[in-house]
Amino acid sequence: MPPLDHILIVNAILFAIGVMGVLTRRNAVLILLSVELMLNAVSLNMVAFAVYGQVEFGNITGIVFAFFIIVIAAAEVALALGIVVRTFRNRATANVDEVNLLKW
Amino acid sequence: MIWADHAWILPAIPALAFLVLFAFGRFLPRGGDFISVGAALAVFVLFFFVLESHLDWLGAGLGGIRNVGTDWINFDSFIVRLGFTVDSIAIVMVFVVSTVALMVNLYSTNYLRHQGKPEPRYWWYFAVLSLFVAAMLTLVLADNLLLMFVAWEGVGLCSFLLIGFYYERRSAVEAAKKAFITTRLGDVGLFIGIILFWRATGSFQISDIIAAAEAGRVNDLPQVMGDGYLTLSTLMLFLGAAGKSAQVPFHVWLPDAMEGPTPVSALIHAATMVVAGVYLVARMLPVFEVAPGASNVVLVVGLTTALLAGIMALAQNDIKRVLAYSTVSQLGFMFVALGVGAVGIAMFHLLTHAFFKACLFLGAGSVIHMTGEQDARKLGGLWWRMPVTASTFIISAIALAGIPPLSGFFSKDEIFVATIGGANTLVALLLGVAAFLSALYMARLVFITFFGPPKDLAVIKRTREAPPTILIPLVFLTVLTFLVGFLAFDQVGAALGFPGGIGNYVYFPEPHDFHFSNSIAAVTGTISLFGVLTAWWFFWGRNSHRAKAVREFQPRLAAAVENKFYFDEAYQWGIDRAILPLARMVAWFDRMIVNDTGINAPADATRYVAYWLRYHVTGRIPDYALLMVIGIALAGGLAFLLRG
Amino acid sequence: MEDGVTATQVVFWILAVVMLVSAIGVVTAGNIVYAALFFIAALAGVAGIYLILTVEFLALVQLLIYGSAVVILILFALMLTRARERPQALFGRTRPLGIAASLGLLAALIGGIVATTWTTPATSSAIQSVGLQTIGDAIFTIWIVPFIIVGVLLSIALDGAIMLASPDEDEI
Repeated sequence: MPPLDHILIVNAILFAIGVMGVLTRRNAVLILLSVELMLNAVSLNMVAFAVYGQVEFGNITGIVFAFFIIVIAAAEVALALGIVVRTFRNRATANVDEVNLLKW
Repeated sequence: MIWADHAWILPAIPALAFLVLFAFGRFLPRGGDFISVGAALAVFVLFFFVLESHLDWLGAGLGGIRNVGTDWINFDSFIVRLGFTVDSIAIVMVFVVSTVALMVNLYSTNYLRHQGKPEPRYWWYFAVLSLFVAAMLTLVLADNLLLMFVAWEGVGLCSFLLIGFYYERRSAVEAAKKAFITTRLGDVGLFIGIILFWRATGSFQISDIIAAAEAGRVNDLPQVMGDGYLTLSTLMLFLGAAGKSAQVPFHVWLPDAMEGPTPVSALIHAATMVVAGVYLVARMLPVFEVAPGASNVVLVVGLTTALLAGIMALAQNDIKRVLAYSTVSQLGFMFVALGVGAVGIAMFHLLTHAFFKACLFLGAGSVIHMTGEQDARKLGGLWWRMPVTASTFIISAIALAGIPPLSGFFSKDEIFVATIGGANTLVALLLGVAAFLSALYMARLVFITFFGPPKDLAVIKRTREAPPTILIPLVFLTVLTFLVGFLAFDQVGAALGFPGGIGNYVYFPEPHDFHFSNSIAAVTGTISLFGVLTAWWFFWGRNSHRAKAVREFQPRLAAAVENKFYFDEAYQWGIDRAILPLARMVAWFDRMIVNDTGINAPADATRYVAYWLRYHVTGRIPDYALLMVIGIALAGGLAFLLRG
Repeated sequence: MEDGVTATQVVFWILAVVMLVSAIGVVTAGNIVYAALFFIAALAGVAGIYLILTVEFLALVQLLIYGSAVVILILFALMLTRARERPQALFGRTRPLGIAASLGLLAALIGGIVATTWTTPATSSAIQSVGLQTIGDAIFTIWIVPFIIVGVLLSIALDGAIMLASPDEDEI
């Protein structure tokens, strides 16, 4: 078994890559992909803590949490794609930097 | 069921009635007045159960004081109890409150109507009346000063609301504000006193404070002030008592409080709320006895008030105002009794005074209600138009004047005995003058209202005797006025199940028998009779030219008396010259410094910066996300660096 | 901690490298469809790590829901928005700043992880496999209420997605 901190570092890198994608991409769908990467990093973290902690704490809350995260992610993807399609229909673009209504 | 252990039920019933009336009163038939009357009746009936169980303990030698209750606030070092005490003082007070409240409730169902139609806000009147009864009962039953203070403010609030009941009238609004603010001045002192006692003893319990004071433990910790601390705290309590009981120099609010409906004057401003100050001092009397000088202050203030108010009552023409000054004067008598340490006698005078003064007010209300006139100069010759009202009024007035064998005679006589026993002849003499004045102004009021030629025939013509709902309370209270005076006698008290007369029931520190001294009784009786005769000499119908002659003989003095010794003018001057300028300064500071600079300036700056910044906002989500991540990274890095 | 490098660790690092490289591909690929394919690879890498952590159930769910359903949804969205038909810049103007910010975040995270002393079980035998039955018991007993709520949430989200994506009445 790999040590816990190795797994955590891998997860941190994965998370940072996701953040980078969110910050650099323009296309809303690609941003969504990056968010999914971040979510995966988080749930992997949960599972790692749960597995490595179970000898001492004897709970599997982290695993159940990861399971819930997957379900929520599915719901979120469905909704977000609905929004993207809607935006594309209204403004003829799926690029987030062309939608600049969030100001005075 | 041991009723005295459940004394909390007494205030709970009218409190519940208040909630019901407050929520639904305006939708109920008759404005829900039957709920208020029913609550008062329930309290009146339950009182006798409480009394019975209290007497059972006394008989069984279990001690006269019963404390029950629960913790209201409990931090480890700060405990306030929601507790109730039943002892002889509380019993007397509850008896007064429940009886008069019931009578006034009954009376108001008719008084608050014009030709059978309820006045506006009829339901609200009864709601507040119930709230008042609840607060007053809480006040007298509370076993700690903080709960008592809450109830104390509660009765003050009800007084304010009821004085200002006719708030369409500007004078009523002014009177309500005056009463509220004046008593509030005293209440600040009371609260300071409570805090001082708490600081020294760490407790709000009255019994703890009394025990600590008697053990000499009430002082500031570095012992700088010595006994001065105890005296200061005690006098602060007395400040509250003087404010509530309208003692000089706080007496100015009570006559103005007569702007309220007359039954309210009878209940709140004659029988119950204004005696709360007497009650407070009576309850804390052991502390007053221990504190050096405190009793003397009580004595002097009481005596001054009794005299001054007696003189002022002479020159008033409004029936209710005469009665109001008379109340102030009689409260002075009670404080004199407390000042010489005679708690039982003070409570006795409180008891008798409550009944005959309530009766007088209700009688005056009957006159006002039926004639529509409350200036005694425009009345006169009423006795044959309203014989029942007149006779009850006259009997109560005789009781107040202190003519035997009515109740006022016994209680006043007891005060004289106690004062002379306190070995102070000067006080007794001055008190004699005050008693003479009581007889004088009451006889004057009776003469010019009910006797003599009618001044206004139109008023007399339309006047009829009042309906039964008004007369029943009058007659009932007159009967009580007859009877309660005999409670002074041990035989009467024993026959009713008490340990003896009032002196053997309410006492501090030792029970004492009723000292009926023939010589003193003869003197006081003569003083009262002499007062009545003097009134007849000056004010009886055709003799009124003599009163006029006296006025013309000393016009400046007469004007001073008629203007109540210019107390109001002096206060107004002080307010104009000192308080308002100070208030203006504070208001200026608040507006300019606190508000404009302290609050508006940051807001204006924010608005200006935001106005400038908003043209630099892109509105693009990625920019916000970028800033967010930078912020999170910085915060995370900072947390990492600071974790040490 | 066991001495030396075990086979599990080797497999873990292989999977980790594959996953991270695929993730970098997701965020840097010049072609949107390639990005989506890289995404599948990254998800498979995560599922593999779940397997190493002995949570087979999650690995299964990851492949079934993420690897198929979600990716298919995303591909649909790409087609619906005709992302390929209009070639245009895939990166925003603030790309360098974004990279810098994410690297800063990474530094903060790794700093925190390294600075903390983690208690790792002494031997791998101490780690017991988390069986399907254990997870099922947990979900349907302790977590039953959240489970029901999340089910309701899912159906609401799907309804909402349909509402959002369906054309307005005047557009029909």
